[in-house]
Amino acid sequence: VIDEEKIERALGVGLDKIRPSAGLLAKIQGAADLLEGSDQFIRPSGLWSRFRLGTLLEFATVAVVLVSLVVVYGYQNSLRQILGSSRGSMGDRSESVWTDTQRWPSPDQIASAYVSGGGPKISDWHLTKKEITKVLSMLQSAEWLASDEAQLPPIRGLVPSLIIELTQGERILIQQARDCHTVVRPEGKAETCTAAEGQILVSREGHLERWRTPELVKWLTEGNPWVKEIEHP
Amino acid sequence: LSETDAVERLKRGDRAALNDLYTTYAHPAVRIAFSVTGSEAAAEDAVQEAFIQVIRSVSTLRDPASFRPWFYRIVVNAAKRLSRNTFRSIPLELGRHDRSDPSAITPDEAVVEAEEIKLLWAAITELDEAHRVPIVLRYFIKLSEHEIAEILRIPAGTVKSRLHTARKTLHQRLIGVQVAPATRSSNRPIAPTLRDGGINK
Repeated sequence: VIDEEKIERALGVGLDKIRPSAGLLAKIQGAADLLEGSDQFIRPSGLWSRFRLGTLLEFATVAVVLVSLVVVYGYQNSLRQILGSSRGSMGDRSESVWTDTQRWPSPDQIASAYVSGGGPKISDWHLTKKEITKVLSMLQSAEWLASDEAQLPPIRGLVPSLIIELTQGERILIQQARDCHTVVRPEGKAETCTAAEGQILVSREGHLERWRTPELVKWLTEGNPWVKEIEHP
Repeated sequence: LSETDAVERLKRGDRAALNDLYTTYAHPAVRIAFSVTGSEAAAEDAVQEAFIQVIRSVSTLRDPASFRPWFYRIVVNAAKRLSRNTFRSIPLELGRHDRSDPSAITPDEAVVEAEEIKLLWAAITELDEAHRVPIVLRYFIKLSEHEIAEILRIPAGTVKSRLHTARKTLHQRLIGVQVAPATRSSNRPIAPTLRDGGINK
């Protein structure tokens, strides 16, 4: 049997030079900065942990909340029937926007929504994950997206290099290749980005999506004066 | 205790705790990731991804004392995802081998032993991932078999078996016997191999 101490020493020799680069911590901190303003940042764990204990009291609390929601929902539906309206003013954004196919935004409208001041804002649409799926599908059919990107993969933990705040809670993150250190902030500061190509991540309620960027990067650089520079090697 | 404290602070949203955990875990994490990917760049990406995952998910970690296996599992999983596309051979310059007790052997013996260590490292790099990663976790990170099982999500018996097979393979490699089962078949080696003479450079 091989001497285990020799294995330890061989690993020590072989792995000695494998070390994190000087910039790794900065990248992680940069990612934390970006996440801090989103709902993906660390959430205080107290409430959640207590729910996980599964005590009868907590179970009852959840049940009461659910029942309340059902009651409120039923009340709203009744109210709509009384008023003879198929669209209430609260809580039915899917009806008001998405089930009516004639009101769906076109890919051009979607694109313009990302341009500050032009077209409807994403926040006006209140996209849910399911709805984003539809948008992605539309963009794919319009050849805005590569076919392999028209899915909803969970965001992978790479550092977004570019972040654009559209409205509060709405963000587009442009994620470049791993060597890109750029963080462009809404106030207009841009650093050098050395990535060759990028991806866009759309974030809402914790759902981030990856997009191919040629067209969107183009309008970002041309249509947003606060994006100073995206440099390619 | 300080690690547990750092995890608790991070769960409360204390950003400084992230730096503390980085200081403790970045080095071993990069080396673990490298043992999976065989690429320094991919290893660093994996660690970066792992820390971001920590930021997102640390609130779901119920026992702060279990942070280490939890984090290493995230690192290994991230490295596995990244290694599919980025696995590539990189030359490793082997560092000078020093004994902790140089006077215990003669200079000639030291030369022979140093060469043996180099051969052993080359043999480790030629193990397949399933055997190489447990070896790194056991003998470099110094984790118990139970912890390794938790990280790799395999039974402790499997860890034990893989470690045994890996040690046996390394032994046989060291004495010049070619062994197939625990050696890489499809992946390229992560360091100069015995066959290409790279270890003698």
